[in-house]
Amino acid sequence: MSWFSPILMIAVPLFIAFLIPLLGYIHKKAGLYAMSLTLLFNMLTGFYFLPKVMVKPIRVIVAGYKPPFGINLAITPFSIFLACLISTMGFLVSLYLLKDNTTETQEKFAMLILLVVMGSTGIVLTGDIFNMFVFLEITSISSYALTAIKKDRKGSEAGIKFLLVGSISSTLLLLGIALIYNQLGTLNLADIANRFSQMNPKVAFLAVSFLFIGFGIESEMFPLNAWAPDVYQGAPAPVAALFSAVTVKAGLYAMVRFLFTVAAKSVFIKLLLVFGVLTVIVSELSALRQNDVKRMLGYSSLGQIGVILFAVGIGTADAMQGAIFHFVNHAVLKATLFLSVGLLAKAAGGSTMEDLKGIGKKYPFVAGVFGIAALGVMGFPPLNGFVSKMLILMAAAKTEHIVLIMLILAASVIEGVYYFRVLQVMFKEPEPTRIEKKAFPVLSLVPLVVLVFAIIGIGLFSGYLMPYLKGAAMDVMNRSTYIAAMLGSNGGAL
Amino acid sequence: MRELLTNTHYIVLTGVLILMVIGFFGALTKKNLIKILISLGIVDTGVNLFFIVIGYLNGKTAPIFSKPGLTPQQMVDPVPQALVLTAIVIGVAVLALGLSIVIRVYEHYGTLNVSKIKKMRG
Repeated sequence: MSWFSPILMIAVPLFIAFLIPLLGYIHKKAGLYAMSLTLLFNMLTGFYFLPKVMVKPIRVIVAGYKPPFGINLAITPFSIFLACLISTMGFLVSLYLLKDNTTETQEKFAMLILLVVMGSTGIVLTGDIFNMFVFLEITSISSYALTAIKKDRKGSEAGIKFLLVGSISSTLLLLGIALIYNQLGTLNLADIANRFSQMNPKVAFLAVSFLFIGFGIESEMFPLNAWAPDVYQGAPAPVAALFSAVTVKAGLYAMVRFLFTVAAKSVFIKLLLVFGVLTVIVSELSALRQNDVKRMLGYSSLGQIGVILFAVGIGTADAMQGAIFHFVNHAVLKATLFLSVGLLAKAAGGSTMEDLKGIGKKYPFVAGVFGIAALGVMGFPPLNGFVSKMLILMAAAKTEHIVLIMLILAASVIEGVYYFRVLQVMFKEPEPTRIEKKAFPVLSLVPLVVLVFAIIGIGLFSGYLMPYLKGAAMDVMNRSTYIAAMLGSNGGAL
Repeated sequence: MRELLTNTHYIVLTGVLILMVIGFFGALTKKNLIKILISLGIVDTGVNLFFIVIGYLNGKTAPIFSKPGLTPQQMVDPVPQALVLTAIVIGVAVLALGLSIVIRVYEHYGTLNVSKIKKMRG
């Protein structure tokens, strides 16, 4: 089956996305179903290639130009693992959206969501730095539009803030790419990695700084993430779930791939350690004084990303394994939290603490799902958040970052405080009389059930995931294997 | 730099620097949302110009086989030009989307002053 190549994971969603406005003429809901089916196709394709890539990385050459010339896809264990995660989360969120009529512009919604997932998949699969930039822009532009899609006050404000910060990020990325091209005359990631030491050290430092800041904005690193809570609060709940489960993961991938495989600069990896811990502390403290639950979840999401950045910054294979595991857990947990809060907030008419008073007695199932996911984020033993946090902290202990471990654990305590406050408001307050009980659509509950099973299942049977995590971590740590696999036997000398 | 820099390079690089400083200065100091978007557009232009300078070789022509007997050795580097074309399209898309969101913001807040558009805090 030579036609069945991973490039379909990018080509098919892109094609369908631009077909969706036309499908709207056939049937009002056709666009939404096309979106779900396409994402299902992406998910199945991803899982079909996952075991193959674990054995041997695939290099897809486009238009017959052998690397380092031309555009190619570099599909290594880390990238296919994240592509599977991204398309699975995209599919689950799309199921939730099938019966969700928060906006009247459903075709636009379906199209933009497909573009976000397609762009994120492109970022993780591509082997070309300019291509990565283009996919990042596709993801960002669709994200700006998705944030502001509800035409309300909060959405517009969050959207314009996101757009202004995002365009600064894209400018910096472009500058960094220009500097690298100026020095090496190539855009292929593996070729840049191979010849990175030939760059003028000062120019190389400047280029890596620009790309570090640019990817830092995309992956919501601490001093650059002021826009993120607004976006999580202003965007519709399923969109917020998509952002924390999909787009941030792609940004983190770009950061990790660039710093570890391409640049291999230990100074910047150490910087990630510092910024990661700062991200955790600042976001958890900010989350503590939020009244809006969606905004609180946004800050909590930033805190989890801080943990991931911290684990990446440790820079050992064990820590990387924990970090990649936390990628999965953060995506699953935050998607569950945002989706369940989205349902509850729709029933209660708002997402502040007052709105959600006693909602747990009215909707015990959805609120219970929220509770399980909250326990997972805090890291309670049988659940998935515990396993990955444990791996990360053990790896940190091995490298003797004792003070940083203490800070992370202190932040986890703060996390417990505000999540238990929400749970108390939900379950202990008297049942509200102003809300009429309505059943939620079944299709919106399906993703929640799947995600809860994932939370418990990953926690109990994490052993099955370990070989994949190990393969992905090895892929990140061994840059020479990446270069050899992508450039072939001749080492890519021009 | 792979090639020797000529005076033309230095003149255009100065222009790049001036454009980017003007743009970033505007983006950081202006209060009007539309002026901020324009400033970011100026920064983008600076970056695009930088790409063009990278590919420019003194005394060579456009990378198009427009005359018989033209060889690739007589042309400038085509890759940066392709990249700039993509970057321009992306810039236009961001600007268009930005302006349409600005219209929404104006509808809700009745102002374009960024220091007054601060309903979400904390």
